[in-house]
Amino acid sequence: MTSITKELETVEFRERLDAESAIPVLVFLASGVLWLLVGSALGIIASIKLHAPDWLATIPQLTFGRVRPAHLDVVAYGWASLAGVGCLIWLTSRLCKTPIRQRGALIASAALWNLGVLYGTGAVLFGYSQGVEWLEYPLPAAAIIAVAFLLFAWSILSTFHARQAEHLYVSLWYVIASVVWFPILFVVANLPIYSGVEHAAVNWWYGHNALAIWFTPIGLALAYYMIPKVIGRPIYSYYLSLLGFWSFALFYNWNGIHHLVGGPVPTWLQTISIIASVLMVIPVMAVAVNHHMTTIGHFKLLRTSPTLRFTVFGAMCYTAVSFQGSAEALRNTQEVVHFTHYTVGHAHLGVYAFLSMILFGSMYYIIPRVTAWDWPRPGAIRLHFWLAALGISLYFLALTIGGWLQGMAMNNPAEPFVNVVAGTRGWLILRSIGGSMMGLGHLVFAFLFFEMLWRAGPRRGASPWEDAK
Amino acid sequence: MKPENTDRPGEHWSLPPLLGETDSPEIHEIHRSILQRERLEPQEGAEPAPWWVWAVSVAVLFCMGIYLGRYGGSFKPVAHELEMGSAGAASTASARPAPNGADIFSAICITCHQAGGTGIEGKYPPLAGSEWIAKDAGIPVRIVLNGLEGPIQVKGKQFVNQMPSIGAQLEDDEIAAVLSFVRSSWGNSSGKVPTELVTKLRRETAGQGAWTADKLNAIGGKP
Repeated sequence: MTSITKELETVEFRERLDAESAIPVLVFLASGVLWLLVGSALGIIASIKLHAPDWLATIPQLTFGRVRPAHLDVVAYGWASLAGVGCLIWLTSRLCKTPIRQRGALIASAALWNLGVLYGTGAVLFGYSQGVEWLEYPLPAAAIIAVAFLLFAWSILSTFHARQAEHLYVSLWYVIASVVWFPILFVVANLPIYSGVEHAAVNWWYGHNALAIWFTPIGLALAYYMIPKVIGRPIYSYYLSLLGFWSFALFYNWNGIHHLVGGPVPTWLQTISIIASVLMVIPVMAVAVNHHMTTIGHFKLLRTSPTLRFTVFGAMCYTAVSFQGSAEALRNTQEVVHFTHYTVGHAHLGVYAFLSMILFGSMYYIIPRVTAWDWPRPGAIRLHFWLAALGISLYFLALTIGGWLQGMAMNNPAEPFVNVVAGTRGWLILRSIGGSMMGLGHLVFAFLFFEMLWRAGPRRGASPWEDAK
Repeated sequence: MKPENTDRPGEHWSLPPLLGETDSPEIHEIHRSILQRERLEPQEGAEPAPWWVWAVSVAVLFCMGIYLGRYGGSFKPVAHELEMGSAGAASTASARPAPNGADIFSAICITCHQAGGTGIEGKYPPLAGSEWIAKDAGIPVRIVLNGLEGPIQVKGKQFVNQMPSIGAQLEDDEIAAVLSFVRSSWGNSSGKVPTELVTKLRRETAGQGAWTADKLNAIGGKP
């Protein structure tokens, strides 16, 4: 290690990095946590409506057709994006070994982003949706978010340009790639120039790529950082990192059309998206082996580090959701699960069990460093973990089993459709219970978060669970 | 983003410890203790990737190559190529399923001639047991192709009405299918109408107006 590298690892230097990124990081994280609460409420309302359809049915703004897309948009563009950006700002500064640049642009970005989500979600709830899944926001709201993203990208790329790090750590590859890819995707998909089948194809090219080149890179960048950082050993293999990143970059953005298998989309396009979906086995395997071999022998740290516990849970779910996705894209599987609740279970395994859990884990690591305060209540963090982990497990199992049975029943022409609908009721109630557990966990987390923001609670002088060994 | 510190009223400080801010040394102290517990920034290890990772990668690529060959279809804007088979890939028109005579009857003819082919007395002649339907398949084909008008005697009863030409609405195989259905339903048993006959008569009677009973008799179709 050269002397310069050593100098860039000192406590004083890291203290400066944290101090300079603190305000933008906290603004984004706080916005994300507030949107998480809104998104959870919308999700639970939508979920309950599926087994109690008369509930709130007389209020147009709270009918299922509006609440459900509003939930998706709030958790995607509000919670996951804003919390993700907050974590990426801190991460980029640490990995580039230089203070974050364009902090004013970041504050403006946070303000615009919140405005865009507020306006867009309001429009959806009041009936001004574009009616295209993942792209419900009216054009002005989308434009505001696009500008907010470009401001964020400007800050990240400026910081990257001014980097003092000699080596680019793998997390940084994902960050830089996604801040370049996502604005292109978002702008192209929102152009008002598509119609018919072509619009459907663009819709799912976007819908899947929002996960592929925005949310997944956030999750992987954070997992690649948090796991070796907490354990204190290098990531297992640079070669696996390379294989994982480049095969990810090559295959993932072809996946979207697998949402339209069986539809009036050119056969070759469907086949290619199925192939790309199966080829995702390669990057996922590389990432899974890399993370597992780094963690192996240190699993006992899951008991003492909330960061590691949430992050490893998320990383394992990334492997699970990706392998499930590869199998789910195949035509034979689609014949059963298309248009069923099974798909919804899969989506939540991805965005919640993988991404949100890693965001929680990363926030448990980052927030003490930007507030200078230790998490005050170890028991509450445990409660948050178990509510979230058991809640999503119940949610996923109920929709996976219920959705599969639903698909089998729908394929049986002798089965009246109304019986199929009635048969899903028990599974949907279980899903509401799981979702409510997750929602409760979010209340606990939000309470802890705002305690940290005010430096409330007992001063501990230890990382959360160290005294609980 | 500068909330008051509720623990120490009156003292205003930036929530996070900003660089160069020395008025709250305690924050620095806590922050430093957090950073001192921290491990080094992550490094890349140089272990080789396990051999089976490469083996699985190559195997998956190989299998997907086969899948592409098997299910890739032609590089054309055609959907449902796999369901249509090789004929469908060449021409979408030939992929239309064989027409169903009963469906066409229910969609078009049933309005006047009724579900049992009974017609309505005094208005629309019956098809069940009709001598015009039974004898020569060319007669009903001509009527469907070009229409019929004026008085006509069916099963001993006189009808005066107009039947429009349906030739432009239906393909030859559809006319053959619906007439085959009519000629083998409700007690009729005069057999299938071949598509070739419809094709031939459509060509021969092109430009012909609506038929009358007399004209049909004149071409030798008298029952």
